[in-house]
Amino acid sequence: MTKVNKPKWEFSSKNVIFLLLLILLIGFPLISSGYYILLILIFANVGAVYAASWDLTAGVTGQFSFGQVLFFGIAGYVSGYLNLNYGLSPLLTIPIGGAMGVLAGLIVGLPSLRLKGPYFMIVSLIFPGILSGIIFMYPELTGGETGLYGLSPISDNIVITYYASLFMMLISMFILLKILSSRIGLVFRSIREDPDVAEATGINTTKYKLLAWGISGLFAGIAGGFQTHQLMTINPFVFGAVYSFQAILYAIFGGAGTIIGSVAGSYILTTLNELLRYITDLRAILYAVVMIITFLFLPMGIYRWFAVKFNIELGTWNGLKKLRREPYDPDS
Amino acid sequence: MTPILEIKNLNKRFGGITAVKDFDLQIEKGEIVGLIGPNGAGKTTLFNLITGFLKPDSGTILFKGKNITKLKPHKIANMGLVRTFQLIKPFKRMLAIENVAVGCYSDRFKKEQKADVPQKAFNTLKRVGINPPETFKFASSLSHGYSRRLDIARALVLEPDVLLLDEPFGGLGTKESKLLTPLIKKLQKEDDLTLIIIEHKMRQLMKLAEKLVVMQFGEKIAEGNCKEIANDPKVCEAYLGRGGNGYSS
Repeated sequence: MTKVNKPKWEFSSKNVIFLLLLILLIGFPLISSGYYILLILIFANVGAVYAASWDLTAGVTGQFSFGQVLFFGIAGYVSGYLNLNYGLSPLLTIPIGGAMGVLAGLIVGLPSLRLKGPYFMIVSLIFPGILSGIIFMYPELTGGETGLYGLSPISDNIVITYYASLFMMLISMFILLKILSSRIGLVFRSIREDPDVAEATGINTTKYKLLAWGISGLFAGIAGGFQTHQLMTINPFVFGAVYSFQAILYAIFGGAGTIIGSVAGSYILTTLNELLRYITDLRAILYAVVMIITFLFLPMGIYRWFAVKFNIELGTWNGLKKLRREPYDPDS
Repeated sequence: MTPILEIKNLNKRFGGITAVKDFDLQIEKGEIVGLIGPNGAGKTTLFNLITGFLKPDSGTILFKGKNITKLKPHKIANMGLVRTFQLIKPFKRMLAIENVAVGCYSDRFKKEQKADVPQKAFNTLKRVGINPPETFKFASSLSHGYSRRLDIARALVLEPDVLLLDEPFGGLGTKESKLLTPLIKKLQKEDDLTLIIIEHKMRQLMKLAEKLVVMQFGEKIAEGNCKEIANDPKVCEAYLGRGGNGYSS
Protein backbone atom coordinates (compact mmCIF):
# COMPACT_ATOMS: atom_id res chain seq x y z
CA MET A 1 0.00 0.00 0.00
CA THR A 2 1.28 3.45 -0.85
CA LYS A 3 2.27 5.74 1.94
CA VAL A 4 0.21 8.85 2.33
CA ASN A 5 2.47 11.68 3.33
CA LYS A 6 0.38 14.23 5.11
CA PRO A 7 1.81 17.71 5.51
CA LYS A 8 2.80 18.35 9.12
CA TRP A 9 0.60 21.42 9.44
CA GLU A 10 -2.82 21.51 7.89
CA PHE A 11 -4.78 24.59 6.93
CA SER A 12 -7.86 23.59 8.86
CA SER A 13 -10.29 25.67 10.87
CA LYS A 14 -9.02 24.34 14.20
CA ASN A 15 -5.40 25.07 13.41
CA VAL A 16 -6.30 28.55 12.23
CA ILE A 17 -8.21 29.21 15.44
CA PHE A 18 -5.33 28.00 17.60
CA LEU A 19 -2.87 30.09 15.64
CA LEU A 20 -5.05 33.20 15.86
CA LEU A 21 -5.42 32.76 19.61
CA LEU A 22 -1.68 32.37 19.98
CA ILE A 23 -1.00 35.49 17.92
CA LEU A 24 -3.59 37.37 19.97
CA LEU A 25 -1.92 36.35 23.22
CA ILE A 26 1.56 37.22 21.99
CA GLY A 27 0.49 40.50 20.43
CA PHE A 28 -1.85 41.54 23.23
CA PRO A 29 0.47 44.12 24.86
CA LEU A 30 0.46 45.96 21.52
CA ILE A 31 -3.31 46.33 21.65
CA SER A 32 -3.45 47.29 25.27
CA SER A 33 -0.62 47.53 27.75
CA GLY A 34 -2.86 48.64 30.56
CA TYR A 35 -1.58 47.42 33.91
CA TYR A 36 -4.93 46.11 35.07
CA ILE A 37 -5.76 44.12 31.95
CA LEU A 38 -2.33 42.54 31.74
CA LEU A 39 -2.52 41.67 35.42
CA ILE A 40 -5.72 39.74 34.80
CA LEU A 41 -4.09 37.85 31.95
CA ILE A 42 -1.08 37.05 34.15
CA PHE A 43 -3.45 35.57 36.73
CA ALA A 44 -5.15 33.62 33.94
CA ASN A 45 -1.82 32.19 32.78
CA VAL A 46 -0.79 31.17 36.27
CA GLY A 47 -4.26 29.74 36.91
CA ALA A 48 -4.07 27.72 33.69
CA VAL A 49 -0.83 26.00 34.73
CA TYR A 50 -2.17 25.43 38.23
CA ALA A 51 -5.47 23.98 36.96
CA ALA A 52 -3.69 21.82 34.38
CA SER A 53 -1.51 20.37 37.13
CA TRP A 54 -4.66 19.30 38.98
CA ASP A 55 -6.11 17.95 35.75
CA LEU A 56 -3.14 15.65 35.24
CA THR A 57 -3.77 13.77 38.49
CA ALA A 58 -7.55 14.05 38.66
CA GLY A 59 -8.81 14.32 35.09
CA VAL A 60 -6.21 12.12 33.44
CA THR A 61 -5.03 9.69 36.14
CA GLY A 62 -8.23 9.63 38.19
CA GLN A 63 -6.68 10.58 41.55
CA PHE A 64 -9.20 13.22 42.58
CA SER A 65 -7.60 15.54 45.13
CA PHE A 66 -9.00 18.50 47.03
CA GLY A 67 -5.62 19.67 48.20
CA GLN A 68 -3.86 20.87 45.09
CA VAL A 69 -3.08 24.19 46.78
CA LEU A 70 -0.56 22.35 48.95
CA PHE A 71 1.95 22.20 46.08
CA PHE A 72 1.13 25.74 45.01
CA GLY A 73 1.60 27.12 48.51
CA ILE A 74 4.62 25.07 49.53
CA ALA A 75 6.46 26.16 46.40
CA GLY A 76 5.42 29.75 46.99
CA TYR A 77 6.77 29.68 50.52
CA VAL A 78 10.03 27.98 49.57
CA SER A 79 10.74 30.34 46.70
CA GLY A 80 9.72 33.33 48.81
CA TYR A 81 11.93 32.23 51.71
CA LEU A 82 14.96 31.65 49.52
CA ASN A 83 14.47 35.00 47.83
CA LEU A 84 14.02 36.88 51.07
CA ASN A 85 16.81 35.28 53.06
CA TYR A 86 19.40 34.36 50.45
CA GLY A 87 18.57 36.91 47.78
CA LEU A 88 18.19 34.30 45.06
CA SER A 89 16.57 35.59 41.89
CA PRO A 90 13.08 34.41 40.92
CA LEU A 91 14.67 32.64 37.97
CA LEU A 92 16.25 30.27 40.49
CA THR A 93 13.68 30.20 43.24
CA ILE A 94 10.73 29.28 41.01
CA PRO A 95 12.36 26.05 39.74
CA ILE A 96 13.46 25.22 43.30
CA GLY A 97 9.87 25.78 44.38
CA GLY A 98 8.81 23.44 41.58
CA ALA A 99 11.19 20.80 42.94
CA MET A 100 9.61 21.20 46.37
CA GLY A 101 6.27 20.73 44.65
CA VAL A 102 7.51 17.39 43.28
CA LEU A 103 8.52 16.31 46.77
CA ALA A 104 5.16 17.36 48.20
CA GLY A 105 3.45 15.59 45.31
CA LEU A 106 5.19 12.33 46.11
CA ILE A 107 4.23 12.63 49.79
CA VAL A 108 0.56 13.28 48.95
CA GLY A 109 0.73 10.50 46.39
CA LEU A 110 1.58 7.90 49.04
CA PRO A 111 -1.89 7.71 50.64
CA SER A 112 -3.45 7.70 47.18
CA LEU A 113 -1.89 4.27 46.68
CA ARG A 114 -3.99 2.83 49.46
CA LEU A 115 -7.05 5.06 49.71
CA LYS A 116 -9.63 5.21 46.97
CA GLY A 117 -12.29 7.67 45.90
CA PRO A 118 -13.91 9.75 48.65
CA TYR A 119 -11.50 8.50 51.34
CA PHE A 120 -8.56 9.91 49.50
CA MET A 121 -10.42 13.17 48.80
CA ILE A 122 -10.90 13.71 52.54
CA VAL A 123 -7.26 12.99 53.29
CA SER A 124 -6.11 15.30 50.49
CA LEU A 125 -8.27 18.06 51.96
CA ILE A 126 -6.39 17.77 55.25
CA PHE A 127 -2.84 18.17 53.92
CA PRO A 128 -2.96 21.94 53.23
CA GLY A 129 -4.45 22.43 56.70
CA ILE A 130 -1.51 20.59 58.27
CA LEU A 131 0.93 22.78 56.38
CA SER A 132 -0.74 26.03 57.39
CA GLY A 133 -0.60 24.75 60.97
CA ILE A 134 3.14 24.20 60.64
CA ILE A 135 3.53 27.70 59.23
CA PHE A 136 1.82 29.21 62.26
CA MET A 137 4.07 27.14 64.51
CA TYR A 138 7.31 28.69 63.24
CA PRO A 139 6.59 32.41 62.78
CA GLU A 140 10.28 33.38 62.88
CA LEU A 141 10.86 31.30 59.74
CA THR A 142 7.62 31.77 57.89
CA GLY A 143 6.44 35.15 59.06
CA GLY A 144 3.45 33.58 60.78
CA GLU A 145 0.15 35.23 60.03
CA THR A 146 1.54 38.07 57.95
CA GLY A 147 3.56 35.67 55.84
CA LEU A 148 6.50 36.67 53.71
CA TYR A 149 6.49 40.04 52.01
CA GLY A 150 8.82 42.36 50.17
CA LEU A 151 9.90 39.69 47.69
CA SER A 152 11.55 40.45 44.37
CA PRO A 153 8.98 40.84 41.61
CA ILE A 154 9.30 38.86 38.38
CA SER A 155 9.96 42.17 36.68
CA ASP A 156 9.17 45.82 37.37
CA ASN A 157 7.71 46.02 33.88
CA ILE A 158 4.22 44.54 33.64
CA VAL A 159 4.65 43.72 29.93
CA ILE A 160 7.75 41.64 30.66
CA THR A 161 5.95 39.91 33.52
CA TYR A 162 3.09 39.18 31.15
CA TYR A 163 5.43 37.62 28.60
CA ALA A 164 7.15 35.61 31.33
CA SER A 165 3.79 34.22 32.45
CA LEU A 166 2.75 33.50 28.88
CA PHE A 167 6.03 31.73 28.24
CA MET A 168 5.61 29.67 31.40
CA MET A 169 2.04 28.77 30.44
CA LEU A 170 2.87 27.77 26.86
CA ILE A 171 5.90 25.68 27.84
CA SER A 172 3.94 23.94 30.62
CA MET A 173 1.04 23.21 28.28
CA PHE A 174 3.38 21.91 25.62
CA ILE A 175 5.03 19.51 28.07
CA LEU A 176 1.76 18.40 29.68
CA LEU A 177 0.07 17.81 26.33
CA LYS A 178 3.09 15.83 25.15
CA ILE A 179 2.79 13.69 28.28
CA LEU A 180 -0.95 13.25 27.71
CA SER A 181 -0.49 11.94 24.19
CA SER A 182 2.55 9.81 25.00
CA ARG A 183 2.64 6.25 26.29
CA ILE A 184 2.73 7.68 29.82
CA GLY A 185 -0.56 9.49 29.17
CA LEU A 186 -2.04 6.27 27.82
CA VAL A 187 -1.07 4.40 30.98
CA PHE A 188 -2.35 7.28 33.17
CA ARG A 189 -5.73 7.06 31.48
CA SER A 190 -5.85 3.29 31.90
CA ILE A 191 -5.28 3.80 35.65
CA ARG A 192 -8.13 6.31 35.72
CA GLU A 193 -10.45 3.84 34.02
CA ASP A 194 -9.59 0.85 36.21
CA PRO A 195 -6.45 0.51 38.33
CA ASP A 196 -7.02 -3.22 38.88
CA VAL A 197 -7.25 -4.04 35.20
CA ALA A 198 -4.21 -1.84 34.53
CA GLU A 199 -2.35 -3.81 37.18
CA ALA A 200 -3.48 -7.08 35.57
CA THR A 201 -2.14 -5.76 32.26
CA GLY A 202 1.33 -5.60 33.76
CA ILE A 203 1.33 -1.90 34.62
CA ASN A 204 3.11 -0.90 37.81
CA THR A 205 0.31 1.38 38.98
CA THR A 206 2.28 2.47 42.07
CA LYS A 207 5.08 3.82 39.93
CA TYR A 208 2.79 5.60 37.49
CA LYS A 209 0.58 7.11 40.17
CA LEU A 210 3.61 8.57 41.92
CA LEU A 211 4.89 9.81 38.58
CA ALA A 212 1.61 11.62 38.01
CA TRP A 213 1.81 13.17 41.47
CA GLY A 214 5.38 14.27 40.89
CA ILE A 215 4.58 15.96 37.58
CA SER A 216 1.47 17.54 39.06
CA GLY A 217 3.45 18.88 42.00
CA LEU A 218 6.09 20.28 39.67
CA PHE A 219 3.70 22.37 37.61
CA ALA A 220 1.57 23.47 40.56
CA GLY A 221 4.82 24.46 42.26
CA ILE A 222 6.02 26.49 39.32
CA ALA A 223 2.69 28.29 39.18
CA GLY A 224 2.86 28.90 42.95
CA GLY A 225 6.39 30.27 42.80
CA PHE A 226 5.49 32.54 39.91
CA GLN A 227 2.40 33.90 41.62
CA THR A 228 4.28 34.53 44.87
CA HIS A 229 6.96 36.58 43.13
CA GLN A 230 4.43 38.36 41.00
CA LEU A 231 2.40 39.41 44.06
CA MET A 232 5.66 39.89 46.03
CA THR A 233 4.03 38.30 49.06
CA ILE A 234 2.56 35.08 50.37
CA ASN A 235 0.62 34.36 53.52
CA PRO A 236 -0.78 31.20 55.11
CA PHE A 237 -4.31 31.96 53.96
CA VAL A 238 -3.30 30.71 50.55
CA PHE A 239 -3.82 27.20 51.98
CA GLY A 240 -7.55 27.75 52.26
CA ALA A 241 -9.80 25.29 50.50
CA VAL A 242 -10.95 28.06 48.12
CA TYR A 243 -7.65 27.93 46.27
CA SER A 244 -7.85 24.19 45.82
CA PHE A 245 -11.35 24.54 44.44
CA GLN A 246 -10.12 27.21 42.08
CA ALA A 247 -7.96 24.65 40.27
CA ILE A 248 -10.84 22.17 40.21
CA LEU A 249 -13.31 24.75 38.87
CA TYR A 250 -10.99 25.96 36.13
CA ALA A 251 -10.13 22.44 35.01
CA ILE A 252 -13.66 21.07 35.04
CA PHE A 253 -15.12 24.22 33.48
CA GLY A 254 -12.60 23.88 30.65
CA GLY A 255 -12.96 20.11 30.37
CA ALA A 256 -11.36 17.70 32.83
CA GLY A 257 -8.94 15.25 31.32
CA THR A 258 -8.06 17.43 28.34
CA ILE A 259 -5.27 19.49 30.00
CA ILE A 260 -5.71 22.28 27.45
CA GLY A 261 -9.22 22.85 28.75
CA SER A 262 -7.61 24.33 31.85
CA VAL A 263 -6.37 27.25 29.75
CA ALA A 264 -9.86 27.92 28.45
CA GLY A 265 -11.34 27.55 31.93
CA SER A 266 -8.75 29.77 33.53
CA TYR A 267 -9.04 32.55 30.94
CA ILE A 268 -12.83 32.57 30.87
CA LEU A 269 -13.35 32.37 34.62
CA THR A 270 -10.61 34.83 35.57
CA THR A 271 -11.96 37.37 33.11
CA LEU A 272 -15.53 36.74 34.22
CA ASN A 273 -14.56 37.19 37.84
CA GLU A 274 -13.00 40.56 37.05
CA LEU A 275 -15.89 41.70 34.86
CA LEU A 276 -18.30 40.92 37.66
CA ARG A 277 -16.27 43.08 40.02
CA TYR A 278 -18.31 46.04 38.76
CA ILE A 279 -21.47 44.44 40.11
CA THR A 280 -20.24 43.90 43.64
CA ASP A 281 -23.53 42.83 45.19
CA LEU A 282 -24.46 40.13 42.75
CA ARG A 283 -20.94 39.01 41.87
CA ALA A 284 -20.89 35.68 43.64
CA ILE A 285 -24.42 34.86 42.53
CA LEU A 286 -23.77 35.65 38.88
CA TYR A 287 -20.52 33.70 38.96
CA ALA A 288 -22.42 30.72 40.32
CA VAL A 289 -25.18 31.11 37.74
CA VAL A 290 -22.67 31.05 34.90
CA MET A 291 -21.13 27.93 36.40
CA ILE A 292 -24.44 26.16 36.79
CA ILE A 293 -25.57 27.00 33.26
CA THR A 294 -22.27 25.83 31.81
CA PHE A 295 -22.26 22.57 33.70
CA LEU A 296 -25.90 22.03 32.79
CA PHE A 297 -25.42 22.45 29.07
CA LEU A 298 -21.76 21.56 28.64
CA PRO A 299 -21.11 19.04 31.40
CA MET A 300 -17.96 17.83 29.70
CA GLY A 301 -16.48 21.32 29.65
CA ILE A 302 -15.94 24.16 27.24
CA TYR A 303 -13.01 22.60 25.43
CA ARG A 304 -14.79 19.34 24.65
CA TRP A 305 -17.67 21.30 23.16
CA PHE A 306 -15.19 23.26 21.08
CA ALA A 307 -13.40 20.06 20.07
CA VAL A 308 -16.60 18.45 18.87
CA LYS A 309 -17.48 21.57 16.85
CA PHE A 310 -14.11 21.67 15.13
CA ASN A 311 -13.51 17.96 14.94
CA ILE A 312 -10.44 17.86 17.15
CA GLU A 313 -9.45 14.56 18.64
CA LEU A 314 -9.21 14.71 22.41
CA GLY A 315 -6.19 13.46 24.31
CA THR A 316 -5.47 10.99 21.60
CA TRP A 317 -2.59 8.66 21.97
CA ASN A 318 0.12 9.64 19.50
CA GLY A 319 0.44 6.02 18.37
CA LEU A 320 -2.82 6.42 16.47
CA LYS A 321 -1.31 9.09 14.27
CA LYS A 322 1.47 6.73 13.29
CA LEU A 323 -1.07 4.12 12.34
CA ARG A 324 -3.09 6.57 10.30
CA ARG A 325 -0.14 8.11 8.56
CA GLU A 326 0.86 4.66 7.39
CA PRO A 327 -2.53 3.14 6.75
CA TYR A 328 -3.03 -0.40 7.90
CA ASP A 329 -2.92 -2.97 5.20
CA PRO A 330 -6.30 -4.72 5.11
CA ASP A 331 -4.82 -7.77 3.40
CA SER A 332 -1.90 -8.44 5.73
CA MET B 1 9.20 -31.95 32.87
CA THR B 2 8.30 -29.57 35.64
CA PRO B 3 4.78 -28.21 35.47
CA ILE B 4 4.46 -24.59 34.28
CA LEU B 5 2.09 -23.79 37.12
CA GLU B 6 2.11 -25.58 40.41
CA ILE B 7 -0.20 -24.84 43.31
CA LYS B 8 0.60 -26.44 46.62
CA ASN B 9 -1.64 -26.62 49.64
CA LEU B 10 -3.31 -23.26 49.03
CA ASN B 11 -5.62 -21.84 51.70
CA LYS B 12 -7.67 -18.69 51.84
CA ARG B 13 -10.27 -17.69 54.40
CA PHE B 14 -12.58 -14.69 54.44
CA GLY B 15 -13.61 -14.38 58.07
CA GLY B 16 -15.48 -17.57 58.84
CA ILE B 17 -15.73 -18.73 55.25
CA THR B 18 -13.06 -20.93 53.76
CA ALA B 19 -12.93 -19.86 50.13
CA VAL B 20 -10.05 -22.10 49.07
CA LYS B 21 -8.99 -25.10 51.13
CA ASP B 22 -5.87 -27.27 50.78
CA PHE B 23 -5.86 -26.77 47.05
CA ASP B 24 -3.29 -28.59 44.93
CA LEU B 25 -2.98 -28.32 41.18
CA GLN B 26 -0.33 -29.01 38.59
CA ILE B 27 -0.59 -27.71 35.08
CA GLU B 28 1.71 -28.71 32.25
CA LYS B 29 2.71 -26.43 29.43
CA GLY B 30 0.22 -26.31 26.58
CA GLU B 31 -2.66 -27.80 28.53
CA ILE B 32 -6.19 -26.46 28.39
CA VAL B 33 -7.73 -26.90 31.80
CA GLY B 34 -11.35 -26.23 32.59
CA LEU B 35 -12.14 -25.14 36.11
CA ILE B 36 -15.74 -25.80 37.06
CA GLY B 37 -17.86 -25.89 40.14
CA PRO B 38 -21.10 -24.51 41.55
CA ASN B 39 -21.43 -20.79 42.30
CA GLY B 40 -19.33 -19.80 45.29
CA ALA B 41 -17.03 -22.78 44.97
CA GLY B 42 -13.97 -20.49 45.03
CA LYS B 43 -13.00 -20.52 41.37
CA THR B 44 -12.58 -16.78 40.95
CA THR B 45 -10.93 -16.56 44.37
CA LEU B 46 -8.42 -19.11 43.12
CA PHE B 47 -7.74 -16.90 40.09
CA ASN B 48 -7.33 -13.88 42.33
CA LEU B 49 -4.86 -15.82 44.47
CA ILE B 50 -2.86 -17.03 41.48
CA THR B 51 -2.62 -13.58 39.91
CA GLY B 52 -1.70 -11.81 43.13
CA PHE B 53 -4.91 -9.82 43.65
CA LEU B 54 -5.40 -11.70 46.91
CA LYS B 55 -2.73 -13.01 49.25
CA PRO B 56 -3.19 -16.61 50.39
CA ASP B 57 -3.19 -17.46 54.09
CA SER B 58 -0.86 -20.37 53.42
CA GLY B 59 0.47 -22.42 50.56
CA THR B 60 2.71 -21.69 47.60
CA ILE B 61 2.23 -20.99 43.93
CA LEU B 62 5.09 -21.79 41.59
CA PHE B 63 5.14 -20.40 38.08
CA LYS B 64 7.88 -21.64 35.77
CA GLY B 65 9.57 -22.96 38.91
CA LYS B 66 9.58 -19.57 40.64
CA ASN B 67 7.63 -18.76 43.75
CA ILE B 68 5.11 -16.04 42.88
CA THR B 69 3.00 -16.31 46.03
CA LYS B 70 3.86 -12.88 47.42
CA LEU B 71 4.38 -10.94 44.19
CA LYS B 72 2.27 -7.98 43.11
CA PRO B 73 -0.23 -8.52 40.27
CA HIS B 74 1.74 -6.53 37.69
CA LYS B 75 4.91 -8.49 38.43
CA ILE B 76 3.04 -11.76 37.89
CA ALA B 77 1.48 -10.47 34.67
CA ASN B 78 4.90 -9.41 33.44
CA MET B 79 6.22 -12.91 34.05
CA GLY B 80 3.64 -14.19 31.58
CA LEU B 81 0.74 -15.24 33.80
CA VAL B 82 -2.17 -13.09 32.63
CA ARG B 83 -5.86 -13.12 33.45
CA THR B 84 -9.15 -11.78 32.13
CA PHE B 85 -12.04 -10.70 34.33
CA GLN B 86 -15.40 -12.28 34.97
CA LEU B 87 -17.15 -8.93 34.82
CA ILE B 88 -15.43 -7.43 31.83
CA LYS B 89 -13.89 -4.13 32.71
CA PRO B 90 -12.51 -2.51 29.58
CA PHE B 91 -10.95 0.95 29.86
CA LYS B 92 -14.23 2.52 28.80
CA ARG B 93 -13.23 6.03 27.88
CA MET B 94 -10.38 4.77 25.73
CA LEU B 95 -10.43 3.47 22.18
CA ALA B 96 -10.36 -0.28 21.63
CA ILE B 97 -6.87 -0.05 20.20
CA GLU B 98 -5.71 2.05 23.15
CA ASN B 99 -7.07 -0.60 25.51
CA VAL B 100 -4.79 -3.14 23.91
CA ALA B 101 -1.81 -0.80 23.59
CA VAL B 102 -1.55 -0.35 27.37
CA GLY B 103 -0.11 -3.83 27.79
CA CYS B 104 2.59 -3.16 25.19
CA TYR B 105 4.06 -0.54 27.51
CA SER B 106 4.32 -2.86 30.49
CA ASP B 107 7.65 -4.10 31.81
CA ARG B 108 7.07 -7.42 30.07
CA PHE B 109 8.69 -5.88 27.02
CA LYS B 110 12.11 -4.36 26.72
CA LYS B 111 12.52 -0.86 25.40
CA GLU B 112 13.36 -1.88 21.83
CA GLN B 113 10.22 -4.03 21.72
CA LYS B 114 8.06 -1.00 22.44
CA ALA B 115 8.71 0.61 19.06
CA ASP B 116 5.92 -0.63 16.87
CA VAL B 117 3.16 -0.68 19.44
CA PRO B 118 0.34 0.75 17.27
CA GLN B 119 0.72 -1.94 14.65
CA LYS B 120 1.04 -4.64 17.28
CA ALA B 121 -2.11 -3.49 19.05
CA PHE B 122 -3.92 -3.33 15.73
CA ASN B 123 -2.85 -6.84 14.80
CA THR B 124 -3.77 -8.27 18.19
CA LEU B 125 -7.27 -6.85 17.85
CA LYS B 126 -7.46 -8.35 14.41
CA ARG B 127 -6.48 -11.75 15.79
CA VAL B 128 -9.47 -11.76 18.14
CA GLY B 129 -11.73 -10.60 15.33
CA ILE B 130 -11.98 -6.89 16.05
CA ASN B 131 -11.42 -4.97 12.84
CA PRO B 132 -11.96 -1.35 11.83
CA PRO B 133 -14.19 0.52 12.42
CA GLU B 134 -14.50 -1.17 15.85
CA THR B 135 -10.75 -0.88 16.36
CA PHE B 136 -11.03 2.90 16.59
CA LYS B 137 -14.25 3.00 18.61
CA PHE B 138 -14.48 3.77 22.31
CA ALA B 139 -14.59 0.62 24.37
CA SER B 140 -17.81 1.81 26.01
CA SER B 141 -19.57 1.72 22.64
CA LEU B 142 -18.62 -1.88 21.82
CA SER B 143 -21.15 -4.68 22.12
CA HIS B 144 -20.81 -7.24 24.89
CA GLY B 145 -19.40 -9.83 22.52
CA TYR B 146 -16.74 -7.44 21.30
CA SER B 147 -15.94 -6.36 24.85
CA ARG B 148 -15.21 -9.99 25.75
CA ARG B 149 -12.90 -10.27 22.79
CA LEU B 150 -11.30 -6.95 23.70
CA ASP B 151 -10.57 -8.26 27.18
CA ILE B 152 -8.91 -11.33 25.69
CA ALA B 153 -6.90 -9.10 23.33
CA ARG B 154 -5.83 -6.92 26.25
CA ALA B 155 -4.40 -10.00 27.94
CA LEU B 156 -3.09 -11.59 24.76
CA VAL B 157 -0.96 -8.60 23.82
CA LEU B 158 1.26 -9.38 26.82
CA GLU B 159 2.27 -12.59 25.01
CA PRO B 160 1.35 -14.73 28.02
CA ASP B 161 2.58 -18.23 28.72
CA VAL B 162 -0.44 -19.00 30.85
CA LEU B 163 -3.75 -17.29 30.26
CA LEU B 164 -6.50 -17.46 32.85
CA LEU B 165 -9.93 -16.89 31.32
CA ASP B 166 -12.66 -16.12 33.84
CA GLU B 167 -15.95 -17.07 32.20
CA PRO B 168 -15.06 -16.06 28.65
CA PHE B 169 -18.52 -17.14 27.50
CA GLY B 170 -20.36 -15.29 30.25
CA GLY B 171 -23.25 -13.28 28.87
CA LEU B 172 -22.71 -14.42 25.31
CA GLY B 173 -25.45 -15.82 23.14
CA THR B 174 -25.29 -19.26 21.55
CA LYS B 175 -24.14 -17.84 18.25
CA GLU B 176 -21.39 -15.71 19.75
CA SER B 177 -20.26 -18.59 21.94
CA LYS B 178 -20.00 -20.87 18.93
CA LEU B 179 -17.72 -18.34 17.26
CA LEU B 180 -15.57 -17.80 20.34
CA THR B 181 -14.75 -21.45 20.92
CA PRO B 182 -12.74 -21.98 17.71
CA LEU B 183 -11.13 -18.58 18.23
CA ILE B 184 -9.79 -19.53 21.66
CA LYS B 185 -8.60 -22.85 20.28
CA LYS B 186 -6.84 -21.10 17.40
CA LEU B 187 -5.14 -18.56 19.66
CA GLN B 188 -4.03 -21.34 21.97
CA LYS B 189 -2.43 -23.25 19.11
CA GLU B 190 -0.76 -20.23 17.51
CA ASP B 191 0.76 -18.89 20.71
CA ASP B 192 1.33 -22.24 22.39
CA LEU B 193 -0.72 -20.99 25.33
CA THR B 194 -1.53 -22.80 28.50
CA LEU B 195 -5.15 -22.04 29.32
CA ILE B 196 -7.15 -22.27 32.50
CA ILE B 197 -10.80 -21.55 31.85
CA ILE B 198 -13.52 -20.99 34.40
CA GLU B 199 -16.81 -21.63 32.69
CA HIS B 200 -20.37 -22.66 33.37
CA LYS B 201 -21.29 -23.32 29.74
CA MET B 202 -20.29 -26.95 29.70
CA ARG B 203 -21.05 -27.52 26.04
CA GLN B 204 -18.44 -24.93 25.00
CA LEU B 205 -15.95 -25.84 27.72
CA MET B 206 -15.98 -29.53 26.82
CA LYS B 207 -15.06 -28.64 23.25
CA LEU B 208 -12.00 -26.79 24.54
CA ALA B 209 -10.72 -28.39 27.69
CA GLU B 210 -8.63 -31.56 27.77
CA LYS B 211 -8.70 -31.70 31.52
CA LEU B 212 -11.34 -30.61 34.00
CA VAL B 213 -10.88 -29.65 37.61
CA VAL B 214 -13.99 -29.54 39.77
CA MET B 215 -14.22 -27.38 42.86
CA GLN B 216 -16.79 -27.37 45.60
CA PHE B 217 -16.67 -25.37 48.84
CA GLY B 218 -13.09 -24.37 48.06
CA GLU B 219 -11.86 -27.91 47.65
CA LYS B 220 -10.88 -29.89 44.61
CA ILE B 221 -13.32 -32.78 44.43
CA ALA B 222 -12.32 -34.27 41.08
CA GLU B 223 -9.77 -34.00 38.30
CA GLY B 224 -9.63 -35.77 34.97
CA ASN B 225 -10.68 -35.74 31.36
CA CYS B 226 -14.17 -34.74 30.32
CA LYS B 227 -15.54 -38.26 30.21
CA GLU B 228 -14.20 -39.19 33.63
CA ILE B 229 -15.59 -36.03 35.14
CA ALA B 230 -18.98 -36.41 33.52
CA ASN B 231 -19.26 -39.91 34.92
CA ASP B 232 -17.85 -39.10 38.33
CA PRO B 233 -20.68 -39.67 40.80
CA LYS B 234 -19.34 -37.03 43.20
CA VAL B 235 -19.34 -34.40 40.46
CA CYS B 236 -22.74 -35.40 39.17
CA GLU B 237 -24.08 -34.97 42.62
CA ALA B 238 -22.36 -31.63 43.25
CA TYR B 239 -22.67 -29.95 39.95
CA LEU B 240 -23.94 -31.60 36.82
CA GLY B 241 -26.90 -33.38 38.25
CA ARG B 242 -28.30 -36.53 36.71
CA GLY B 243 -28.43 -35.19 33.17
CA GLY B 244 -24.69 -34.58 33.23
CA ASN B 245 -23.88 -37.83 31.43
CA GLY B 246 -25.29 -36.51 28.24
CA TYR B 247 -22.71 -33.75 27.91
CA SER B 248 -19.75 -36.04 27.47
CA SER B 249 -20.72 -37.20 24.01
